[in-house]
Amino acid sequence: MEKECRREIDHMDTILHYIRQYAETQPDVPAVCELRKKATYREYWDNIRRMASALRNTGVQKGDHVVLRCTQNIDYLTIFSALQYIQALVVPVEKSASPERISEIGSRVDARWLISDKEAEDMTLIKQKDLVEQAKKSDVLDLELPDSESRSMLLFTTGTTGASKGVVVLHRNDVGIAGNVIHGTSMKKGNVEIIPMPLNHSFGIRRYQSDMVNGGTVCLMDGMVFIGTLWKLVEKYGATSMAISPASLGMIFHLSGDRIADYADRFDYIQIGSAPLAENDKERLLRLLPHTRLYNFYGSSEAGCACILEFSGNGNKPGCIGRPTVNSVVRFTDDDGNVIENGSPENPALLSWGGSIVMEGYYNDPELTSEILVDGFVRTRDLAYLDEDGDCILVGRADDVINYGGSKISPAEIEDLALGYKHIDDVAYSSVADPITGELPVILIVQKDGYDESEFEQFLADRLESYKLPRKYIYVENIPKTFKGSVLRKEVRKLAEQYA
Amino acid sequence: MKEFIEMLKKIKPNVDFENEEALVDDGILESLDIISIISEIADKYGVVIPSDEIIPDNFNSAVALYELVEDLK
Repeated sequence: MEKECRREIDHMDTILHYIRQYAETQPDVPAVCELRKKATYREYWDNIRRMASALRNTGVQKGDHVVLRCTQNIDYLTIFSALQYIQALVVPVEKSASPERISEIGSRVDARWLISDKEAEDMTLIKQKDLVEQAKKSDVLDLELPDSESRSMLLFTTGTTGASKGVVVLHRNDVGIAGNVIHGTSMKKGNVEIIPMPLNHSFGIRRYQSDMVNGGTVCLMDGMVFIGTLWKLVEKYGATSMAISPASLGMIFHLSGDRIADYADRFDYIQIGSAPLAENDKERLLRLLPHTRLYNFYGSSEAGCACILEFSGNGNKPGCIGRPTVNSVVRFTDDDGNVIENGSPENPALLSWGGSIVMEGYYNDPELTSEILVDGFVRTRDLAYLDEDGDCILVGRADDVINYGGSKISPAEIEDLALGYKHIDDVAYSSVADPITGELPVILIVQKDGYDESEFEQFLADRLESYKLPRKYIYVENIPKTFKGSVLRKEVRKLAEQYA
Repeated sequence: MKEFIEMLKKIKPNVDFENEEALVDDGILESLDIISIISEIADKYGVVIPSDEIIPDNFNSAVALYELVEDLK
């Protein structure tokens, strides 16, 4: 690892290097598991190389851009790893992505191939099931592994400006971020981690990668709604940790009450990310698992796992996001981008992150890249400062994204689209609190003559994925905005709560 | 069973619940649909599905789910 680590793990260039190493040094340890099947490190490494052979025989070559639909299982991870192995650029997309969304992504990243079960425009479809069958009959392909500076994957973010961004990730980012997770959680040898988080997004794939670097075991779930699977995985594989979202935790509580307390002596740690954790859920978890370390990571697809907070430990400072991780470097700037030593409670400064965790840039967008990536640091719009203990205190969040049961929705994207309906004057997309999903999306509308709710509903349904559709329609006289015209999100939220 | 399927169709229209046998495996039912179904079963039939039974096999077909609910009544 780049810096001193509590456990000594040799530094290697890519996640594949670690899998290959463990296939030799601990071949019979389970690497990846589902409820009904598993692959040891030796099997996983062989399967990746057979899959690489199958991909090559299908026509996928080094340098090709391949959109891969996430199926949240061992086959998906095998294909994902095999694409990296042959040095194609893998572009994972969510399981529920519509053909239109997949086509849009494919077009933006110049993808030649799509690995999925349904076609999309302008890409050659490889059916995942066929590929898996072909791999079983293929020979192992031996190739030189990629190096740390070459491209690992292209992750799409949920953009707050309306368009999601394609983040080009390097192999050294993967290894650096894995080190952050291993060091930050004091991950033990032999760790067995349950991951229900989508493996096409930063949070899920980073946890898998950290377990591979650690030589541990990953147990896959497809979300947390099938809570029975969670308990079966815990029992079957002796899980010692989990990487979940606040929505997943809410699901655990909603569907099984306090049952997690039955495993109080089993969980070494739980890491919770992708959104802030509600205070009452945090307190409930602390009470039910008094000996389990509980962590929250702050980071982004652009600079993963930059800061870590052990919230089962020391105190409860409001806004605290913890300490910078072992392979990240924190920097503060003023509004003009000048580097300053630190912010303060009265004058918080803008956070930037550096180190080996920093992306290469945004795909095909040098202008945005140069705006966000300055001197090797990723600029954020978060305002913060380091306190006297070295903890990072977040004062203002720039991210207005709505988290609906784990699905992230950009209000700006919906509002831009909704304004295309001719009978509304103005609109704001917001949320209200919901006990099950965390937030429930709602839409505030300033009507014009001729407005028809059913027609507007259909207008949205024709253009949006179903999870983005607002669950309530609220009619207002005007939308609270700044003098520059930006939506005042907090005011809109208050209105939504008042009228919903 | 007919009433049960009608309930499912209200939650997720345009799905062939009479014949589909891979509602979860094929991604036809999503997480939020499952939550809605569990809530509706509790409201309509007074049956709370224990967490150990909330597994994909029990939700892959309307028949499997109906049989579970009947067992739990």
